[in-house]
Amino acid sequence: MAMSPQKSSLEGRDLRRSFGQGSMRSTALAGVSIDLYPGQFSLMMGPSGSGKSTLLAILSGLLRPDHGTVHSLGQNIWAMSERQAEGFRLRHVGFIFQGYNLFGAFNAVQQLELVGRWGMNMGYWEARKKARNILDMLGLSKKKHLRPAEMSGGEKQRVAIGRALMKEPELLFADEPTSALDWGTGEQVIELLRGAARERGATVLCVAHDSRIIPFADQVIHLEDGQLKGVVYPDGKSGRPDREDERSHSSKSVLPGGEDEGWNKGKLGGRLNRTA
Amino acid sequence: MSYSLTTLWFDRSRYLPGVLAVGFSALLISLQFGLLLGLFSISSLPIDHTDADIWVGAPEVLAVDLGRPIRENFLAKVAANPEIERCEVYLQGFSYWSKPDGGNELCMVIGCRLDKDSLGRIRELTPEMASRLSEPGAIVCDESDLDRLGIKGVGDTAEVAGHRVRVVGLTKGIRSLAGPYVFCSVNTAKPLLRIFPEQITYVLGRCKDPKDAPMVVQRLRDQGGVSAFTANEFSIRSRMHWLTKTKAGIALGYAALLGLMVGAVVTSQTLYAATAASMKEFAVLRAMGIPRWRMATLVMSQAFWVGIIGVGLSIPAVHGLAALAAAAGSEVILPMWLQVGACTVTLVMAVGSGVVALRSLRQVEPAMLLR
Ligand SMILES: Nc1ncnc2c1ncn2[C@@H]1O[C@H](COP(=O)(O)OP(=O)(O)O)[C@@H](O)[C@H]1O
Ligand SMILES: [Mg+2]
Repeated sequence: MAMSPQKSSLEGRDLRRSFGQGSMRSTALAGVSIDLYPGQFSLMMGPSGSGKSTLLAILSGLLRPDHGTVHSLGQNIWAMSERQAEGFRLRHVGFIFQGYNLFGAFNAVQQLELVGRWGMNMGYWEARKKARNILDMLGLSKKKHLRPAEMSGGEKQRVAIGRALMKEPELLFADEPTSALDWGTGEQVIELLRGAARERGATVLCVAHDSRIIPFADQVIHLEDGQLKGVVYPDGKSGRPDREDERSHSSKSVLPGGEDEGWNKGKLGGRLNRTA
Repeated sequence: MSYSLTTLWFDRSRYLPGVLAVGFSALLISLQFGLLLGLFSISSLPIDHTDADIWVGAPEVLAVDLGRPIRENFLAKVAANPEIERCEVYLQGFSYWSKPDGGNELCMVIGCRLDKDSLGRIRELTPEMASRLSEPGAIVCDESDLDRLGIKGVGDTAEVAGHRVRVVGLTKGIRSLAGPYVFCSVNTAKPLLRIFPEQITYVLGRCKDPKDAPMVVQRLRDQGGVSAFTANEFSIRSRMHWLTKTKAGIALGYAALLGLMVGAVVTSQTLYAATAASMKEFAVLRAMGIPRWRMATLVMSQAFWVGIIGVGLSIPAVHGLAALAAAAGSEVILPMWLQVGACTVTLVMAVGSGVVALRSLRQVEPAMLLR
């Protein structure tokens, strides 16, 4: 896998973002530049509070940066109006979050169908057919008529991926999609996300903690304290020639086991330190 | 099934308070209005249970039971209209009933012609009663009023305005409002109402073609000196007079408004809470660029269905309670316009609550999904 197979589909330049006012002001992102490529599965790692979610939100068009630009599919998304940005997301962007955020009342088909009908103005039958196809592809053929309460975490996350894929987005963002899952199911989810990159040519950015995911990634972006610590290409090449131990470094920064609990404590602790 | 109905059914316990609030509002309006209509229909009973097309009385008569004496020669005036088939005199007014064992009671004396084709004789007076009423001092009252009048039944005597009367028959099912109805002949009625022999209260007319009634009424009004109504007009006028005069209408309006307000608050709270509970799901859709109006439409259609279901439940409840009230002796009149009106007003209330609940969508913010 070449490191820059083609023109990047997403370019973030010198992105900065702070939260809070006055003495409470804290910098979440202190000038990060990053490139993502179509067909690639990019993994973003880093300790809690390092700014991963903030960067993902800025790159995906959910959160306006204080400084810097994002060119997404050639368009400067933060120069757009709110409405235009919404339209851009509608046409090009899909999301997956840690919480599956599925409607309790709807079965798997309906969760997907809703996006087709509301987001793409599809007719009922068209949306249903597409939803079924996607669920089949995600290995959920037998779960189509189950509601979230009747599904396991992994199944729910796969439905959430299906929902994100309904629009066939060029850009797919996933913020800790595996953090609530055990490794086996988490791996399936990662496989699916990588498949979206490989088979559909989507640009996929995924935040995750588990270092076992690294071998799946085309590039691993490592963030620390709001700064880019390096980009690693698991096939061996590093984005920053001056740092040779990139790979082991990123592995070490991962909290061992029980990510959820450790992550929560870390985040709280990080906030306290910052505001003290 | 639509998304809104799916969510309503899935989360039915959550939406139930809203549905019940809507149903209760509709029920309250229909039943209250129906009860008052039932109550005040008693006052127009002499119009509703007789066959006259036209009622002519003293100028500015407010209600049928508030007629003032007019001269008997008005009869000729009415008869002079070519469309009139026949007309006759009719007396009605309040008087005092003195019970045999002491005590007074307000009563409503009605004196009408007793012949077979009489226009003023209510249907409940049978031909046998009518023939017995031709004797001087003979009266008929309703069996339900016996206690109030302090008598036991046929053959008993009492005094009305100082004149001796004798009960010769009992009707069934004629209810009374301010005072029991006392039916008698025209001649018996005059002294009981203390009016001069040449005076009457109304002239009742019947047209050859009932369709001419409004025209004749208009002509009589134009001639002046009288008030003239078609039977239907006068019936509504009488009921509405008591509805407004007694302030019952105002009380009713307030009660209805209060019911609607409580309903609106509960319904909007229900919808608001339900929407807030799906905040994150909506936020994902917003992140993916799905426009807010799609979600607003969902909330509005939930509001609509909550309204429809609530109103739907209220209809059998209203009829059930109306039957119960009827069994307990209070008639509830539920005309179509009332039911349609109550349902419409309540449905509008439910949809309005949906609009209020839309505020919760403003808090939907995709960035809240990030961790
Ligand atoms: N909405 C916010 N308000 C205030 N501070 C925030 C907000 N979002 C993130 N932060 C802060 O910015 C920093 C980076 O957060 P985040 O991007 O969520 O980190 P990560 O996803 O890597 O755990 C943290 O210190 C966090 O407390
Ligand atoms: Mg995060």
